[in-house]
Amino acid sequence: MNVLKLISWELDRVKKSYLILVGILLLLQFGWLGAFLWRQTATYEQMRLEGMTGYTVSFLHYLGSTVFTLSVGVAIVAMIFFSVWIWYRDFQGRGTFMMRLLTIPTGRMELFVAKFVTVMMLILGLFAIQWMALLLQYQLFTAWLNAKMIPLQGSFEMAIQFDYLAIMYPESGFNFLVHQVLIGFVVLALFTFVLVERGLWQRTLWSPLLAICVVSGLLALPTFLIIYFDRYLFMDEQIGLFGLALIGMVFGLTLLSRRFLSKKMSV
Amino acid sequence: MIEVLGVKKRYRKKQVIEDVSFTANKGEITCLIGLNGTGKSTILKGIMGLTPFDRGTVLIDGKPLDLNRVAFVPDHSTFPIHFTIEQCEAFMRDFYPKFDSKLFARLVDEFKLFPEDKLNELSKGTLAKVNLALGIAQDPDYLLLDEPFSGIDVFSKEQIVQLFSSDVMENRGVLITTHEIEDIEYLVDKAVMLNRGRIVREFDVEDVRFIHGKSIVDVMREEYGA
Repeated sequence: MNVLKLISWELDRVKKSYLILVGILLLLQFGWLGAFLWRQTATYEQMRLEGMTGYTVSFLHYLGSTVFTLSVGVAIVAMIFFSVWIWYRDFQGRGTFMMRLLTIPTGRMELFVAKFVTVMMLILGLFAIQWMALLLQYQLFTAWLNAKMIPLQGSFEMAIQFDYLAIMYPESGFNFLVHQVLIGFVVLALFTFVLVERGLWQRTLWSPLLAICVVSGLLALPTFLIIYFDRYLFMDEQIGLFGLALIGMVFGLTLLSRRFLSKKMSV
Repeated sequence: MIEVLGVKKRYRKKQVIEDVSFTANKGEITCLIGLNGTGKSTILKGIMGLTPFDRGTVLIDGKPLDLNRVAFVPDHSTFPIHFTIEQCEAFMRDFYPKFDSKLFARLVDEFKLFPEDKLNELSKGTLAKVNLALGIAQDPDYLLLDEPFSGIDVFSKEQIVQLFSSDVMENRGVLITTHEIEDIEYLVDKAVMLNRGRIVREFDVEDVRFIHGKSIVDVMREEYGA
């Protein structure tokens, strides 16, 4: 029950900055779409006046553009930053809010789970917004080109297979699940880093560096195992090994986080 | 009873707490006394698990720490500074199952606080009263108070001292650290004196007062040579 309350509390706290991020993302993308279409139309008109033919535009051109990539990059960086900040902000200042959180009569791992679920909800929320925004952008894109009678190349389905977008538009439910597990793994690693760093900061000035070493060390062994055995295994076995290594790493990270949160954390 | 048994704590190379053991009884006020940097706050935080001890055990009535039964009131607010008193109360109501809103309302009334006031607009004395009200309203069996009189005016101090002898503190064990010992001397049942992370003296305040005719400050002068 406390976990749900904590999730709701965390979501409420992040609401404003999250909406600002979504606003920036949409403004950047729709603004750029307008500028992109304006430029394409101008080029098309110019070519038409010069009597040149064969000019086509694809939605992929828009997706591959620097500004669109930048907007997605901003969202990714913001989410990585938030995964760390969701912990660090509670340690800020003398009257650290973390002191209050740690005295709530609830298991400390409930705090961890609440923060983790919050970050995952924000990421999934951003995915959902990007899905809808991209579909709307495609509608606007095709409507504009049709109105200007500029030939359109490719389809929406082809466009969303582009590069990193395949993560957001997976081919199957299973792929979607795999992507979310991998994203969750990255968030878990970031959480572990913060907790190790916060657990060590009163003991050594090198706590950030040490925390990076601890987390990297924990991830290194399974990674080396995968790399080493990769060449000797069939495809199915490789997937199995990867799955096992991932489970091992998630288990290790969770145990380490739990230990630091319950035994080492100092506020 | 709060039992602190053989606790130790080290920060980097400095041993802050060295094998400290003492008890604090329910229904009594126990005062941790010491000069600055003797580890008083570290002991309170250690009891709450906020700064875990390197060694030793803490038992609350013979059992491990139960946060439903012990409340900690630090010398600063632990809420975001833009919070209003109302928001602090809402948070406490949501997350502390034993939080008594009626008791809180009574304390707000007694301390003449305004629930819509933001924490960053409050004076240090008012903030101390808010912290104390939030702590007491958790309805704990034991209350740990870290420097509740630090930097506050004489009238706020009086209000807080009066609260200690009121019915809201009945049957609660209080473990308090303070430099303003003379203000609460007549309320304290037991004193634990610390020096450089060790207990140097532990005594019943009434015994010292009536048998030896000394105040806590006199004992402190003897011990610290001030």
